[in-house]
Amino acid sequence: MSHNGSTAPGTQVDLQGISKRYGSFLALDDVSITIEPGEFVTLLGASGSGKTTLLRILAGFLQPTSGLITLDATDVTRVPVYKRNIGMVFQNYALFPHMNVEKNISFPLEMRKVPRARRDELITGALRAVHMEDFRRRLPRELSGGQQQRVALARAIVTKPSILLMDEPLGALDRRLRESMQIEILKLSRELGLTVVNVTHDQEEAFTMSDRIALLSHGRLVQYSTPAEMYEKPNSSLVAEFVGESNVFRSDELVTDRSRVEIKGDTWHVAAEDGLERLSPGDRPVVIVRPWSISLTDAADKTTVLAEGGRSHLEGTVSAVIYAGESRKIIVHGGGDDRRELIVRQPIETELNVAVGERVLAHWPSVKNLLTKEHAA
Amino acid sequence: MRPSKFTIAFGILLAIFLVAPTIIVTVTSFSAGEIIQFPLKEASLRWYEEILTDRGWLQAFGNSLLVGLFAALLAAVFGVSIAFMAARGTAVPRRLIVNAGIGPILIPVVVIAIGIYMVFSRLGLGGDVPSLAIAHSVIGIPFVFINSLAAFAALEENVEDAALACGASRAVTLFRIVLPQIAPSVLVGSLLAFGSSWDEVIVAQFLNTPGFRTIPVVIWGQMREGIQPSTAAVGTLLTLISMVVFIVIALVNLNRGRRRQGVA
Repeated sequence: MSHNGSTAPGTQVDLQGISKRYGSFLALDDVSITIEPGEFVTLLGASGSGKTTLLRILAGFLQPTSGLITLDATDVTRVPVYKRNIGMVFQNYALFPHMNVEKNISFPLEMRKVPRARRDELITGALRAVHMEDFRRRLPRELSGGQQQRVALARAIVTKPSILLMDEPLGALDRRLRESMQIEILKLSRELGLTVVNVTHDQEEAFTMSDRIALLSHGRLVQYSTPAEMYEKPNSSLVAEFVGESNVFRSDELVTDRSRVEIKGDTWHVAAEDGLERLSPGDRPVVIVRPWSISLTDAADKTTVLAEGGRSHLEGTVSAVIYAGESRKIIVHGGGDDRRELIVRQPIETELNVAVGERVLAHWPSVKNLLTKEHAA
Repeated sequence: MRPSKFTIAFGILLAIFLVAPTIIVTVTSFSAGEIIQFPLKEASLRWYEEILTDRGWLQAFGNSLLVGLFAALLAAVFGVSIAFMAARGTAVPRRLIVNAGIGPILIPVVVIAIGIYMVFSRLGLGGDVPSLAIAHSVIGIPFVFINSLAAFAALEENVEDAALACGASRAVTLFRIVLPQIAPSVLVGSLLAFGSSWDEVIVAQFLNTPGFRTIPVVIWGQMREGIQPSTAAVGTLLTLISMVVFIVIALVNLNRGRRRQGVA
């Protein structure tokens, strides 16, 4: 909500069964997403997943082949982009190069017929919101990338649009600037109560900013949930592998027994029961364990460690220890016919208790295992 | 690497070869005598005085100027429109439009002249400023077309989409966002179109009447009676105006180059 209470609350967005076909290529396949007013939703996916196509359909640049788009229960499927009252931010900023900052921000006000007398106040407000008050007379080419994106953001929000759309808005900025802009955009959209739809391929950005994430793959919506749920309860192996680093154990057998999944290799054994309700008979189970969940001990302690039960494990040799900033990544090679490898992560502050070439037992509580099903292509 | 002495000598020779005729014409135009002489025996401005007080020359000068300006204006409108179709349209194949846009450069001028003459005589056109301007705009279109097509291609991605998202219709986007950005290129193209009309003699010859002549046509006519110092004076003035046009083009390009650097 806005402090002065003058902004419209965000809009509810409803995408129903959106498909987009280019000849024989199906860019979007029956995607349905509901976004609550004021919600920050990220469309996440690799390139070619259809996330940008979906955003452009929502904006009105593209017409869906089939499906329905409603904003606050009003059907806008056939409404052209310039009548949809949206604000949009592009990856390459897309400022009008022949207009200075003030004129860029004034343009949408002019187009939406805001009286001249009110424009200056709105422009000043928008510039203040993005901390660019001192740059009114500059031309876009006289600004840095980050400054240009701030101006683009001001231009997108100055008319208090019903919905803010962002197409990889931070993709062209360097990492540090990207992180500070993420926080700023989030704060600003919360203050204004905007409904935001953001497109990115950067899962860290998606997790930092979003209330909900829509993960798309090959034109299909794979999962639409909160970041935490996506991380903890991935509904298929594809989601688990896309969000965060994973060790994936696949089974040759299909789910039959409805109480427990056990998968074994020459040097390893994993068991999982949590989440079995999400699997149906005939699904191929996949067990995921995050690198942070795994402990390492001397291989000689195997019997002691596993005695208490309820643990999954892999026995092998440390093949690499890699320092990666705040954590260290340890690769354990299981050997055996399946050449199984395991990635282990430890915070850099903990003492390194293994060395390359050493025999170790990698183990973790089986309750940390995520049980999901093989993604059907 | 510094150029060798041979290169420098060759460059100077080439420059002399290219510029010498202009210099000779310019110098002889200041002659005080009745016949073309080089080098000058005695200098005067009498031939300039003559042409600038002669009604025939002044009328031809006015005709040339008006035809050039109108032709440049028409070429600008048509050239930009065709370039816009080639850059943004989907109805007609792009290659077809590009060929149409640059066609007048490839077709011999005399063929264009005959074609225009045949059509115009059917329609009862010719012998005045508007008809020659229309004919010359055909020759000028490629200059505007090529320049604006390059400008369309250089437009930044998404800027038009941003305008639409701001609530601007397609027409408003074209006039407020797209055209201002390509304006310098259109100006350069139009100046070149003016230049091409300014010294065009073949089409102008086909469409001339005793009462309507442009400067190149009058000069051409005089050549049959033998060249006079007054012709040289007219030629010098023609050259001067052409030079002004090209200096303006150079300035526009310089300004554009600076702006590009600003972006990078």
